[in-house]
Amino acid sequence: MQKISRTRMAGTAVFAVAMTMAACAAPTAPPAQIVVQTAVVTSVVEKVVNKEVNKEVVVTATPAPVKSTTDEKAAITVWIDDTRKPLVEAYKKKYPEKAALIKEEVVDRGTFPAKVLLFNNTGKGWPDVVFAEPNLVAQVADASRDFPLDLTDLVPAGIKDQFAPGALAPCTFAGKLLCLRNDIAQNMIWFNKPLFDQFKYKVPTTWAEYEQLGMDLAKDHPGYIIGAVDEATLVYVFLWGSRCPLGQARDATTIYINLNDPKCTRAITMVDNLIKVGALAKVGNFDPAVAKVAADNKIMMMIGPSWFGEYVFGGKPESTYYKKAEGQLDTAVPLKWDGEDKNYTGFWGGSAWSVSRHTVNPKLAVDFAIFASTGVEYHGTGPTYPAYAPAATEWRKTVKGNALYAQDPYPVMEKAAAVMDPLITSVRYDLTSPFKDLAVPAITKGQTVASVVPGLQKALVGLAEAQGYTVVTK
Amino acid sequence: MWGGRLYTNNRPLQPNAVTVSKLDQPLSTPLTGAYRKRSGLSLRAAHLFLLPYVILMVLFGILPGAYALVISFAKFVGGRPQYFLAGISNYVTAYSDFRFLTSIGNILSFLLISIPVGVVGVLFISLWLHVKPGRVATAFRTLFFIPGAFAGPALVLLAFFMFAPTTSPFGFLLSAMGFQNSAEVTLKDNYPVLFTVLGFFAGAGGWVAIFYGALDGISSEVMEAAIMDGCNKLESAYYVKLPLIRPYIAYMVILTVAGNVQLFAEPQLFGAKYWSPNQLGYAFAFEIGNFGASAAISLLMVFVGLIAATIIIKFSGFYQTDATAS
Repeated sequence: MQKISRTRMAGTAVFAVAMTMAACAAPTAPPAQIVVQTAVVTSVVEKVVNKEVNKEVVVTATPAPVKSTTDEKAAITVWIDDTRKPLVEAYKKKYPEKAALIKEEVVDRGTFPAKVLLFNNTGKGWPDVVFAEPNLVAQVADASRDFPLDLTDLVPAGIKDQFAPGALAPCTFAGKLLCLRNDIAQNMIWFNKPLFDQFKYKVPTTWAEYEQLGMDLAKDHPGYIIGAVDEATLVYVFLWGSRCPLGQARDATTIYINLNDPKCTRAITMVDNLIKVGALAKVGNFDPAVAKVAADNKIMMMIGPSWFGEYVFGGKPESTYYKKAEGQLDTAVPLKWDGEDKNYTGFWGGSAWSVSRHTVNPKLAVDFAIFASTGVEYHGTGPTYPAYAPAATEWRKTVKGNALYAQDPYPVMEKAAAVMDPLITSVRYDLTSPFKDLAVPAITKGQTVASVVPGLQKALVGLAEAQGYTVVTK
Repeated sequence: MWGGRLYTNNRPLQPNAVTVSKLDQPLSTPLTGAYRKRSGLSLRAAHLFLLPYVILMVLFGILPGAYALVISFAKFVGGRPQYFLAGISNYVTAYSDFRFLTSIGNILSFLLISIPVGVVGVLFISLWLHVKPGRVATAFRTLFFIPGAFAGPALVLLAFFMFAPTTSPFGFLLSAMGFQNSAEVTLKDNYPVLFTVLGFFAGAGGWVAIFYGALDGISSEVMEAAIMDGCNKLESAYYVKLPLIRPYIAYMVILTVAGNVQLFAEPQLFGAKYWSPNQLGYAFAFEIGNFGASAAISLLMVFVGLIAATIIIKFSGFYQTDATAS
């Protein structure tokens, strides 16, 4: 009798654990994963398996069942965010005969790569056109997702040529154009003109002058800042601005990572020096502490993307930094490192439009993607710097009207757009996450970024290898 | 089941409660007498009561678990499974990943803090409330239970404010400890402690209610005998009550180990990407598209939970009450 009771209790406990565990293992077991495949499809997949043994990850290598028939009357699904709703409206207004064929859905694009995997499993459900950043496009272009349509021959050369120089580089993977840029977020200098006039400082043109400015400022006017440091600025502003090879894709499978390169160490040393004297805030641009510095009017300058003017400095009561538009904000071209042939800059954001390989109406889908990335009707008054030059010229009129700027910021934006570093490529993983994991805590604890470089290198290499890249360090 | 919870919401199941709360009666009564003489196929009331649980467990526990086992040996091409083609390569990929050992270390440090703190804390509160049962004790029990009513992620978001010196009602405490901003509080080094605090307030109330019930179930004759023998309150708590509720403690340890090994929501919402093994499993599935390696990590957690349960059942005197009572 006792034995039975014991068995029961043991069973109960083990069952309870098993249930707890198995229930929570659920994320690994997506629903409806078993796909009934036809014999033809299976043989295609088999072939690819053999190919895959030799090459671990090949971009766009795995043909999923693609419908061979196209239908120009089929409706297309377009994934957008809330901000892009007026763009769809603009398209429908311009082409009323196609309005009924565009089904827009507001989607959190962070889930885009995960959803593509699930659609691949079920063999249906893919959206036709997607609004997402090039690094997300890179993720869905990997062997397991193989989502985007190669646009190289589908977009006329006359249109491709009119994108800002380098704007399409993050959309180009192993020579294939997989997306069209919506906007670009080239980094540039934003500075407070009255403060520079008052303190009689010169706006820097090189990184050496920038560091000197920080040192002088810390000595003469403590509390004023020339930047903010978190994982985003470390990668997008300082390391990309210094041409640091923290993840440069050489081709679809090889990536170059070397944080010990002098181009990295020079930027890291500078950041550490400026943090030490207090000229750089130890938190990111959107931390309440930096907003407080802005409210005290102690931001001398920031290096940030083209959307900082409208969205961060703002000049409106609800803006993060400047609540009033008083002509206080001025702009300057990106800084140059001594020894480089010219100045180069990174970027912070900037999205793109990609088209599904599975679409049954590629004509309409490509058509829509072209309008979405180039249409002057929308981008002329859109929220961010258009990647397409003719639209950018139109957009100039919109920003010019903002009383926040000391002068028209457009010429500087245009120059900055032209010096985006072509060495910056999109990779299939999040470059900033190791910096968030290691560099940001080090800064918080009062240690240097240099002290965590070995850990950062290891993490960046590990992430790349986990994604199937072959890593080279020279 | 909420993976990130420090204490799971599982309540002790009925056989266990019966066993402990009626110490003075013969155990396993339902198995004797009339019930025993019936044919093995006849439907008993107990089976009916168990049925919903069994169905749900099969649907959401056993089947997904078995599926995980199957896909852990599947090769994934184009995000689609090719069954039984991977051999053990998914296990190799998962367990040799550069983040794997770190995440195991992280979860171990969390278990080492959260389990003792959880068990001792809950025991202390329960015994303390049981010293003088009545309205006050009931009010406190309810109070402790309230945070558990929040859904996990909402609780984590609430914790953000609690851990920020500028916004927290306990900001003065954090400031006194030398913290100036939330970044300093939420450093990764502090995660095990932070998640323990968070989990304790989320889950302790439920366990207090259970332990309190167990304590109430102790026969009044036993307690009277203890008092007659000259036990004071402290002694009766330590020498009499505590040993009598030991199976509950073992049960709590089993469930909290199982639950805490699967920590997910807390580090995810705190912004750490691959902090716990469960997060790494998620990354394998949805960042890399290798559902097989992801399943390999999930199964490891099942395994850890089962091993822990087996050890605890075997060595903790989980059934001591059976022995003493029969």
